[in-house]
Amino acid sequence: MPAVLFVVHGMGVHSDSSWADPVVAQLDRVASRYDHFAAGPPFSRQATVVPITYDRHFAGWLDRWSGSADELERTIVEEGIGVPDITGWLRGAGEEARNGFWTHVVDVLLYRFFGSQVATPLRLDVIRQIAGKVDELKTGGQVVETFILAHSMGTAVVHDSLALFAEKPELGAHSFFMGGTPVRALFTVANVSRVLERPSPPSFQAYQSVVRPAATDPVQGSRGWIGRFYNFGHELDPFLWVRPFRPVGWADYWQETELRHVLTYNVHGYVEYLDHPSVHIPIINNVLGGVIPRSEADEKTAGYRPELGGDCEEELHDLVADLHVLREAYRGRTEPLELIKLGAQFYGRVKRAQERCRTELES
Amino acid sequence: MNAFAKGLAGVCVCAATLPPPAAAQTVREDCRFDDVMGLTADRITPRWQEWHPAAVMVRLRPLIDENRGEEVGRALRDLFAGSMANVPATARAAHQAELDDYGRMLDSLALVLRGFTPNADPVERVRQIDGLAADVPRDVAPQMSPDGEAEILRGEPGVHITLDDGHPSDVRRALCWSGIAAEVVINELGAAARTRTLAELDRLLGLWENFVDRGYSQFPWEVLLNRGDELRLDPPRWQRIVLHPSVGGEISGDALSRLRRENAILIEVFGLLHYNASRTSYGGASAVASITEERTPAIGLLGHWNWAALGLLARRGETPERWRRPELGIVLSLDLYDLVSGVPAEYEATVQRIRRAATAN
Repeated sequence: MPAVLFVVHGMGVHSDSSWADPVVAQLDRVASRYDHFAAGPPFSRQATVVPITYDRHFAGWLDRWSGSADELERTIVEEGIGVPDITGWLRGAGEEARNGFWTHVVDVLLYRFFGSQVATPLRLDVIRQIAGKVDELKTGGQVVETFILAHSMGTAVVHDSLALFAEKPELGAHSFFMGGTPVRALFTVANVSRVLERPSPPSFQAYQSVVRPAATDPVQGSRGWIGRFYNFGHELDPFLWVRPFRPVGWADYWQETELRHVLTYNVHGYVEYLDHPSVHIPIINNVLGGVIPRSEADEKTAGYRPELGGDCEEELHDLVADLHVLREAYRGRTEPLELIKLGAQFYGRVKRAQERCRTELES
Repeated sequence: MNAFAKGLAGVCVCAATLPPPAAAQTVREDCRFDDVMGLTADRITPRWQEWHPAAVMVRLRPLIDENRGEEVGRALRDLFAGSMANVPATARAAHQAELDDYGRMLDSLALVLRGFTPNADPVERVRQIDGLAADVPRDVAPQMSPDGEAEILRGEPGVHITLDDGHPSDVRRALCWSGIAAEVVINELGAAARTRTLAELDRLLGLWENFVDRGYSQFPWEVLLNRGDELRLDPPRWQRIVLHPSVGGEISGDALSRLRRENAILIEVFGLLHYNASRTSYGGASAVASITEERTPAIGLLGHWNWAALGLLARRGETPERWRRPELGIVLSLDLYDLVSGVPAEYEATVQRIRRAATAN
């Protein structure tokens, strides 16, 4: 099957490819709302969906640090050695105990600030996963159409990986994709590639790299790698308030959509974004080639009413009100560290809402 | 046998015994790769069967296998021209501009393909591909748009062919089937470059795996310090050690008869390591402090050789001369210490086993 949709995760624990199960299930679920899927196979059987997993590159470092800290602590305690517990803060970084800071925020920190030792093998691994599948299909005599759906930090990872692929002649990207536009359509959900971009060189910057529509003018002789570029954001998604991704002059084959629906506490959630017809219809129609007619698409989009998850609607409304306040506080911020701070505040607020809801239900 | 050859086999075997052919009705059936390759013989009119991409690929296979680009390019043009005989004159006239655009693209493609010459050397093949890749037209095969149209040459500025259900099926087939065959040809000719790319990625990932799994551990502040240039693809050859805590074993004393063995916390204050090319081995040295339960800290020099680390220590003596007559010792990394300190126990256990065996006899 030549239409391949690579799905890429964001920050958080994603140990193996099963992380994508809820995403694929959601794509199947939302697709089933349309006539084309009423009698036919689900979306995931009409296209090849391939999860891209890179979290092991973070988990590896965290597990090693946690292990070293445990070993040091054990010796200090057993031997009664009088030294300060200098690595105590690293305990709990290991996968099993990962929580809050260690599951989400630290991924961004490691990726953005720890340089080549974290980012380069991760990017090479992402390139390898994509290239391996594309080659497998091409070698099997197929015309391959490559689509990528990335969420949150995954948007930066995909951007940087493709930019690295293009930047390094020894990887032979141009020959690898000879005769085709490398990525037929890129779908970025909660795009943070601009706030996490490298300051230099220009070929790695979010608006300058090859990760832009092929129809835009070449930058430094390089043509864009993306056939169609769809960017989905949400007005209350805090990760989009710091250096939002808003290119200028990408009129052709560039589409930006800002959502306002609230489905659950997690307005940043992958599955929550995909629920909206303005997000999943372009994905389905690009990958499968216009199987949802325009009239049906317009009707479903206009009639979309999110089904609120959970019972604590009041708590949800409070959260939305707080997010509006938070957004004003962060307007115009540009630094990656602001994003990390904001992310921690957001997840803290979401956790509080969830706990209050649980208490309310129990009482 | 690849997908095309399998498809062709189906077409050829079934064609003679099939019911009267039915014409394809939609642009999807005529242009979408899956649909075209999934066409059963009864959906292909006999006059189109020899132009089906699977049939075309079987004919071109020997030329592709020998990398005879010039002949492949000429064949693709001839095939397209030949398939035009299936397009009624009225339809041809109505869509002349699109057909001409596509024909010109095939001319350009044929010019580029001339650069692919017979060569058994994979390195030379890759060099050829690298030299020609940028000139190969983009998107010669049809791709379905989100609106359900087939787009050809979408990646080529100014030449964008869009086909929909309103186009005659014969026009769509002439363009789409030729396009599918042309793209598969390009894919086949580029196979050596893809193999090179994957091999290079595997090599680099292997180096990183070695560096991380077999290299010396680093704490967060050391990773920050050694973070290096993100545009470098391979792991660093040099690694700085800074304030690196670890567990080790210290053997020291003021005389050979009074040696003491203790677990210690080692703090490497600073140091430097160097890796071999495959990042499987490293060596280096660091300045180290050893802290034990009862005694004052010792300082010294720690040498690293892969997993083993061995160092010399000096500790302020207990006599009034203090540093003039320091207590000397050695320090070992945990792995080496376990190995060395385990020997007496193993020796003792072996002796006991032999004694028990002798007594039993």
